[in-house]
Amino acid sequence: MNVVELNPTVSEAVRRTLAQLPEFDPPAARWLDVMSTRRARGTRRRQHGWTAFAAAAAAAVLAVALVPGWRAPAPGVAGEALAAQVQRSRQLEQDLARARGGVGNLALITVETDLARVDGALQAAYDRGAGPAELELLWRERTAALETLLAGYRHPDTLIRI
Amino acid sequence: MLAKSAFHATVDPAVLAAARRGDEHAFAALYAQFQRAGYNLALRVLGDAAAAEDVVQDVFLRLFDTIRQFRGDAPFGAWLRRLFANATIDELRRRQWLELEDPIEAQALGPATAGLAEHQAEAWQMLMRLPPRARAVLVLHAVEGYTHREMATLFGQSESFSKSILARALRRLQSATLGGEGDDDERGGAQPHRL
Repeated sequence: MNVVELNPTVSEAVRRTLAQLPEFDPPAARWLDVMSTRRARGTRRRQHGWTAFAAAAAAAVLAVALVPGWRAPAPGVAGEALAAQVQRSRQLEQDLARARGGVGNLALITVETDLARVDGALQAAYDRGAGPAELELLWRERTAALETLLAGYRHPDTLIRI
Repeated sequence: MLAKSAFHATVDPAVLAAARRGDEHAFAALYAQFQRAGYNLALRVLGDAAAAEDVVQDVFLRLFDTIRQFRGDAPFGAWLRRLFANATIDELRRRQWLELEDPIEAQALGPATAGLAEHQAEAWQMLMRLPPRARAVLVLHAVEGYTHREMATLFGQSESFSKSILARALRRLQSATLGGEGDDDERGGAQPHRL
């Protein structure tokens, strides 16, 4: 076992007492709290980004609509798929919030972190103006992570513990 | 001799590099490696399980933003330990416990000790019978290896302040371990059982 010398001013009796101090573990769910708090802060930051994106998009639509002879294009397949994934993801988020209910599970940590990673990638994609096909893939990935989490929180017995 | 603080453990450089790039799997690995050490540092000083959990959460949330400031000129564990020590002392300040001369009465705030071996439970109770400030100095110096100069910076006090608090904490703990009633300063003094 690795050991470290106590300061020489500490007597043997005190040394023995300190050496017997028990060690405790924080609740496993605490990491989930860390990640959800971080994600909530990230969401607030992202909302600024998405608000700016939406404002820019609205301005662009207005500008194009004012051009004489312009006609709105029919929604593309990629655009419809993206909208469907966004809608599905929002629904899953609401279901997940209800399913979490303060319950934490260590086995879900990797999925939670994966979700946070996808959120980061999604934000980066919006920031650089990625197209609907790329966004749809990321939203699809996000939906899959949310579905896994939702199933895990609803049926914790089925989880493989890490 | 004490079990070596887990803050001394080496960290995989690849994990550190990934964490500095913002990789959350790497943060999860750092959390898994250091959460216990950080929790026990905070818990031994604060004596309050919920407050110690909050310290762990705050430090790791802060770590997401501050890890890029880690320059690698000191071991990562020592750097992280300083974050934990600062957060713990900040919590003592926030609760205005740094000025307390007596132990906190609320033993119910601590972790459940029912399943502990008798000698562990006794050691825990002895530590908790010290006032929070004395516990902080004792734990940081004797267990975590802080020097008096480092503690002076941490507490915003002189080195002699830290030495004085430590000396009295050690006397009190030693008299408790030997079954005494207290040191000469405390017996018959104007302020019995004070540190």
